[in-house]
Amino acid sequence: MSLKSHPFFRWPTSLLWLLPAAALVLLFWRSGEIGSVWWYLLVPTCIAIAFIDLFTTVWLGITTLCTLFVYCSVGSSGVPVSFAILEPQTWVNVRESMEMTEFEWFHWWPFKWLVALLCLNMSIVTLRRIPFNILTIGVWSIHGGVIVMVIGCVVYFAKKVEGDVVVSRTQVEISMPNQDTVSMVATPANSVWVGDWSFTISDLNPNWELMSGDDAGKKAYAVTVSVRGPEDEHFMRQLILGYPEYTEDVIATGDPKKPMARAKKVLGTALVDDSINIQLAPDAKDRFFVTQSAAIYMREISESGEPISSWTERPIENLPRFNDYIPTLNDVWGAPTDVMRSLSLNLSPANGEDFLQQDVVVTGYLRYAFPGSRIVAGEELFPVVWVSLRKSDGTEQGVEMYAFDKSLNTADATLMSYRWLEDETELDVLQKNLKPSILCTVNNTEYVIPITNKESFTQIGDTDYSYKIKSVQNDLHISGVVVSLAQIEIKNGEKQWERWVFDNPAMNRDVIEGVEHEEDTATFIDDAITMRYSAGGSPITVIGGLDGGAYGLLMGIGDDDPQYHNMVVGEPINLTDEVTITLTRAESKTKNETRPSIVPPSQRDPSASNFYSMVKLAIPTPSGAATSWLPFHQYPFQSQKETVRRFRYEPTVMQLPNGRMFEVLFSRKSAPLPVPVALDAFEIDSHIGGFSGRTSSVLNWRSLIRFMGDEEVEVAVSVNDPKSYGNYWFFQSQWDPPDSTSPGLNYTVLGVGNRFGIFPMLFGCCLTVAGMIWAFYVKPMIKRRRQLAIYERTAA
Amino acid sequence: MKKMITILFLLIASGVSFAAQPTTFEEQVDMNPWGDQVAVFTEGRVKSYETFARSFMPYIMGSKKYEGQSATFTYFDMMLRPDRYVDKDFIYVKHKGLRASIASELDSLNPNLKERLAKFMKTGLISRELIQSPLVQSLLGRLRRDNRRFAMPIEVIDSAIGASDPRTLWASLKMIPPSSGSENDPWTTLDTLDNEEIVDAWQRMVVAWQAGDAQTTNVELATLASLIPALGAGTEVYPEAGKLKLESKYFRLGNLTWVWIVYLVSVVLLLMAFVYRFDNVGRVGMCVFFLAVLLNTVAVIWRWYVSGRYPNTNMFEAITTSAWMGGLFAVLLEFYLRKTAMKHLLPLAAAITAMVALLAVRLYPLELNPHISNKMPVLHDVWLYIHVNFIIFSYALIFVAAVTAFFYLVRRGIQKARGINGKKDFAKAGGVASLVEKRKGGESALGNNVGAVLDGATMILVELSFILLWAGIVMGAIWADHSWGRPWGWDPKEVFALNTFLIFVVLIHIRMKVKDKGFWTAWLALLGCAVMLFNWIIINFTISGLHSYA
Repeated sequence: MSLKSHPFFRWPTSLLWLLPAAALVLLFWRSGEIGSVWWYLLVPTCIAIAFIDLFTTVWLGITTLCTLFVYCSVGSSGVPVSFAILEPQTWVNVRESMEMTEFEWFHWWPFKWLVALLCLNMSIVTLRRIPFNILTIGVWSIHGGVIVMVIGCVVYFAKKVEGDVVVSRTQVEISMPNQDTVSMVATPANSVWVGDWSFTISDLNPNWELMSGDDAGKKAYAVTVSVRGPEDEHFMRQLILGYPEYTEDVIATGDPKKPMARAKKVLGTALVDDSINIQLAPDAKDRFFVTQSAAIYMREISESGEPISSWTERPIENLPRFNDYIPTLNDVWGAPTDVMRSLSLNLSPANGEDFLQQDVVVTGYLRYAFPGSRIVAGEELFPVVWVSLRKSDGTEQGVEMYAFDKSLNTADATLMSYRWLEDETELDVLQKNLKPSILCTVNNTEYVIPITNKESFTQIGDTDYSYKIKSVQNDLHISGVVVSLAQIEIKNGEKQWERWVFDNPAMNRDVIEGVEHEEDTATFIDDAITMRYSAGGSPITVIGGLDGGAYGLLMGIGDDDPQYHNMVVGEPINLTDEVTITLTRAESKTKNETRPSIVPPSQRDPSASNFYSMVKLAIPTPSGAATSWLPFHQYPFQSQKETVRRFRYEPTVMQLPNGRMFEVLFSRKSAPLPVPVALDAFEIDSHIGGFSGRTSSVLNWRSLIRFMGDEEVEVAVSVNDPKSYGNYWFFQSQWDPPDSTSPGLNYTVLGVGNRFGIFPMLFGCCLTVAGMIWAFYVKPMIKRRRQLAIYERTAA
Repeated sequence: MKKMITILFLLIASGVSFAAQPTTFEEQVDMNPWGDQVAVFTEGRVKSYETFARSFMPYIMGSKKYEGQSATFTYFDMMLRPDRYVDKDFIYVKHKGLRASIASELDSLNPNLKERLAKFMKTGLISRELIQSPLVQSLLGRLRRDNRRFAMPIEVIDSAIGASDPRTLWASLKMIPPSSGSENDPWTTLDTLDNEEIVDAWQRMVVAWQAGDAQTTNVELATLASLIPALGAGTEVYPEAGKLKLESKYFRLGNLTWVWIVYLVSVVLLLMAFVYRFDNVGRVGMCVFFLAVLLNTVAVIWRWYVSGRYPNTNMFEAITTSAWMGGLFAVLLEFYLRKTAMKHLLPLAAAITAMVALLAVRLYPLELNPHISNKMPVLHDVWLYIHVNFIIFSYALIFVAAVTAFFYLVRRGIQKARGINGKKDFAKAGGVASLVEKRKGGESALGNNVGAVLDGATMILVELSFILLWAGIVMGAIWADHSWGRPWGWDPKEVFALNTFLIFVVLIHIRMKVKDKGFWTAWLALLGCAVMLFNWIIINFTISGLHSYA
């Protein structure tokens, strides 16, 4: 053991090793290599030799192990803040508060230093204190195995890249004369335009049974595309993956008994129009998306929204993952007032050919938010009221009503509405007309006849006419106009007919058999009687715009005449014996504003990870910055037609002060695959009872994929059976389960990852196990044999 | 006197026979033929009706029984006589905080419910009508927003309400095998069957059930129990009658978790034998222990047979199999140690371990669900059997080691109270070495000192569990590498398995350095066990991760 005796390895001369350590630190610092593999190999070694006596003690190893235990525990489970350890909220996640993923926490410098310290201590103790002989082979093997395993881990984690890629069953390629070929991914309801023709995927069937030829009975993936032409031409084209010869069109027959039929049967040819060429092509993917990474994707668009550049990727390094970073409180809804963190991450142009040769800046991050609209104070009149309905059983419902846009109301406008009065005199008119009625004029005398559901005819005043209401339909959309209609049967002596009475009397008509109504002229059986329908207001109408900013309530419930009540914020008014209404808030000048709305931590889905995260992007210019919050996209699809169902494609449009416009996406970093990968088929093995669509019925998922290199290679990737190509392994990760909109199985998600250093790791582990068995079981046997031999010799 | 005795005997006998005579419809209906012979398809498995009902009813009423009725009866009764359950408390609310919120809300609305709500707070059972009252629904709607605490428990209540709907009960009763006889075709309900004999018998049974006519009900149930399995005759799709019956029996016997009592008896006897060196008591104790292990073995094999796979794919199976492994290990080692001072010790510690394990699964049937379900796709791999068995065996040994370590500390405590210094009471040679190595005169290195024996036993267990745990972790990494694409992902379960190992690494090194070796070994063995239990309980149930199914 030369280390024991040489003065350089003895205290205090060993301190000289601090000199090369300092030199190395300086060297690494100058070269920017602090934290590299060599840093952890060389610097701790010099320090360890400098303090060699300390590193020769087992206690240092024990202390390091205990520290590692604490470090691992804190980073994994977190720290409990109460004794209720079975409650998830008891465990405060220190790691996440420091913006570290598990991977980052266990690759942080303290962990690396602890492992380096442990390995050095173990090495030095083994070399200096454990003689190498048959009895100590076990310990040497254990310690050696751990060091080999650590070296394997260093290589593995230093080179580790993992991510995933979504691959669809097929792309639908459409080519027509004088048009560029257009393609779209085969996903339900996807559609594209080629010239004046629209192509929509109307059906996807992963288990289409072939009905003819030698292939009858086989199952294949079938895509049906609905084709519509500029002159209302319409047909469906069915394409079967792997069987282009069976492509055929289905057309309308006009026969109600069999509305659709194969073109071959009706026209004698399989295709309606040969010039429309639709075919299925592999959805080959050449990049995957890295786990727990972030990137901004940008492209420039014209004023009309047409892309004028391709997408460029700008990776975001050190983007937070777990905590919110909000530049200003006014940026979001629900911002905590006590935590304000700023962020400024500059993203440089992707390359010299990037269409935007300037940095963009990430200035905010939200872990869990979604765009939310709220009413805020504005400058223009746009009255809104908030009322609360409370039942006697304690249940309560809040309602938001808009005077100028009933479509925004959160209550049925036929039951409840908000009216803003220009003039207080309108109140009387409104009160009179709150209930639906019909104003009838006979011989210049007006009669207000009530809307009833009586089965028999009712006399109109003292006239010879009587009426019966057949039906009432409010808010009908006719030729772009909203009208209300009462269908009334009128009787005068023996004469009886039906009249359609609108709230616009110019539209009134009598229904006369065999007479076509003209657009402009109405036909009446008896024009001595005229009518006008008033649809009335909602039975519960909140009134605003009164003098002094007061509010009121008009109630027309039941047969009683409408009643008016003053409304004061916070004071309930009885609608019925069971229900009260309370005005909770009212604003007259407002505007609707959309901002990211932060979901409170307790309401977040823990499994959602950063799926609902958002970043704020700023594009600085001399005349001010364009800013916008961008929602996270699991995959940065190129366009809507490339987007697979269940995944989002909502690029945000940002406009610079100079008018340039961009589409921007927040997603993950991409990395190249060794060769493009396509999905040939997706299969499911099921338990007894067959595949029911539920995960519980699935025994195994299998993606039959094709590596499209110089030589195409087909492999089956399934759970527990990954395949490798180049330096990457491909794993079955996710699938497309069926739901109400699709029978599913339209795509697969493949996990992709490299795994350098696996064999040193495994060898180290095996060495360790062998050492343990030697130390605990073989060594005592050897010792026993020796002891017995000694005792026998002694006895002899 | 004789006459008196005769009269007394007759009185008792008549009383017994009177008490045993079923009087109500619920008691008179015999569900056994139906439960044992009819198979029901659910979630990709075919089970006996008995097993199916026992696994379905907990979705509605947890581990409780409705008025003492069996699950098999209640399922049919709820489906055929739903009126009987109107405004009755049978929906189980497990979350105690949720119970308190619901009770408080209902109490404020209707003070007359006080007594019922007090019972609800105790049992967790509440009626569908009260849960569905607008006030409670409004409350649940608000609480549901709290994803971390209440969303899941409220979803469970909604599922319970849905499951108790007679239409759901009917739709779930898929007892007609596919006529094709193919395993890939779905099973169906009686709706799809055009066998008049069965349909008529079913209708007669339903009429009789609704009329409370137990005799006709029993006749028709027995008829159906013979007719329905005949539909699957000649195909492999219908389980064998014997297997169905064994499955029902297994669950009717409470999964044999009552074996904990046998373990308890052995614990009492073996403890006396170890402490007082009562050899005869020890022999009886060992017999009882062998019986317990035998019953435990029967339970494992029985489950293996009825489930069609080795039982280690859920928490229930992991714990019961782990307990069995500990017991079996103690039996095998006792054969070797029977002539040493360590005799009776490992069976005693293993019996305590198995008793605790079986009690845990018995007391927490909802958390440690005993029902047999299909394995998730990722578990269909040979490494499941290798990795999981290494790990659960090591966990069993870690617990057994903690028991011997606890005994050691108790002894040290007693010694301290008596003013005796026990620092020198430890196994000088170590664990297995203390059994193997010899001292002068051919004596065992272990000696007869109880402290040394306890410490030696702890070390034997620690050494073996040390290797098994490390090998299990490595094998898990190999499996993870080809299943998830990386051998190590710093998942909480992985980290705490490593942490448990780190504790034992510290134990082995501290033992080399300290003077009071036994004391430190015992405390660290207990700490290692605590970390192992933390990994199995807190990490599984509180801190989510990739291993939450095991």
